[in-house]
This record gives sequence, C-alpha cells and structure tokens, in this order.
Amino acid sequence: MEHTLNQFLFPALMLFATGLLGAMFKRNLISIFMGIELMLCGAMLAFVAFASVYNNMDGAVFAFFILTIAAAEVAVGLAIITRLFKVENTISTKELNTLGD
Amino acid sequence: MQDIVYYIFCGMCLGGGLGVILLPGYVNSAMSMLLSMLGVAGLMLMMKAYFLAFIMIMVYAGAVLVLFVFVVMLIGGKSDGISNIRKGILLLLWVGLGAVLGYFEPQIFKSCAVEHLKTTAETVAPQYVEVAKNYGLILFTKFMLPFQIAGVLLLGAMVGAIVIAKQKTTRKSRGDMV
Repeated sequence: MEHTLNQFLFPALMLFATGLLGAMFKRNLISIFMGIELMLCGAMLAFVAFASVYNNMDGAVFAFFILTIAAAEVAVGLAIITRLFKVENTISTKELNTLGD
Repeated sequence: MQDIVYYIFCGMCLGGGLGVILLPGYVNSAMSMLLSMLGVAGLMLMMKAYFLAFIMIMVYAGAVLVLFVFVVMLIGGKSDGISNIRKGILLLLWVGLGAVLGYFEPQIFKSCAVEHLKTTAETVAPQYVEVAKNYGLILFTKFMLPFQIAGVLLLGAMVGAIVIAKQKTTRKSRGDMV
C-alpha cells in the first residue's frame, strides 16, 4: 500500500488540535504543559510526513530541532513549575492570578 | 496488513492524546502521553523515518516523560481536574474538530501545498529519510547554524534550570497572597 500525505497529516493535525484544546481547557500547569508537548509532537509528525513523502531531508532535520527544543523547554518549564509550587504552594491557574488582579 | 498497522498506530496516537486531556490524575495523563508518543513513533516507522522514530522514543519516553512523572511525584499526585461539563464540551469540540479536519484536510493540501512541493522534489536530487547518514550530512552542511544555535540553547536551558533550582526562598502560606 502506497502511503499518502493525507494519511499522516490527519493524525498530526488531530494531535495538534488535542494539545491545543488541552492547553486551553486544563486548569493546572502540568496538564497545560502536557498539552504543549502534544502540540510539538503533532508538528513534528507533520514535518516528518512532508519530508518522507517528498524525499526531502529538510523536514526531518527540523523534526530533530523540534525534539531539541521540546527537551530544553520541558527541563526549564518543569524547573519553573517546581519553584512556583515551592513559593506559592499551588500550581492551579485559578489561584495563580497575582498579575491578573 | 499495513492498513491495519496504520490504524492501530493512529488509534494509539489519537486515543493517547484524548487520554491526556480527559483522564483525571497526572499519572494517568502521563501514561496516556506515553501511548501517544509510541503511536507517533510507530507512524514515523511507517514513513520509513526509522532514525527519528527511535530518537523520538529515547527522548520523549526516556527523558521528557520521566521528567514529568518525577515532577508529578515531587509536587503530589492529586490534580484539580476539570469539571464534567467542561470535559463534555472538550470531548464535543474534539470530535467536531476531528470531523472538520478529516473532511477538509485532503482538499486544503490538494489545492495549495502539494503541487509546489512536487516540482521541487523532482528538480533536486531526492534525499531519503530512511538513511541515517543523511541526517549527519545535512546537519553539518546545510543546517550548520541551526545546529550550533540548538547547542547554545541547550547550554542556556541547562544553566537556567540550575539557576532556578538553586535560589533560596521562603515558603509563602496561601493566606498572605495579595
């Protein structure tokens, strides 16, 4: 069976949409972070799909960079979350509204 | 046969994603994310990007997810989940988005991007994603600058995480919040 681009773009788009919905609807920082990870994952899948179907390495290399960014982002973001929890004693976005008042 | 494998991986991918946003509790979400990442890696295997698939499993399942679970255990497992009504809205939106994307996505990509990409793929020599050697070659020639920038970014992230972790603070009780 020959794979078409659409076959792989659909899960990529859905993964991105899932992550976006999660990041918008969730109420605590760790869950929002997981949503962002899903979005990065979907973008990566789309890059690889284009690279694979058109036999062009550029997309695959950018998937590589996305992986790097995701790792760095998770390390710093989770450090910030643990620190926030230490200072404020909560990670709920309902209660972390100091700047919003 | 390949069709069945494709649907299994696709189901893992989307089911895991749905689990991340709908399941209560952090650990369940993290395990769903693992399922989703494995599905993505499987889809990459089907696209013959073998190297990327295994790097993906190593970095995401091996590093990112372990970090997530570590922080969840550090902070405490109870999560203030979203209410059932919001969950219903979320599920409804998800299904709606799936239907819309499934219907319109082939047309969108047929009309704009594909033709342009096809001509470029024919004019330049094809580079196959299944050959791991190509990654090294292109990283050290065409994408040298982004590669270096990524290295500096990783160094900066490492130093930043250490600085964030080292600062001393006093714990503020919830009552003092202004």
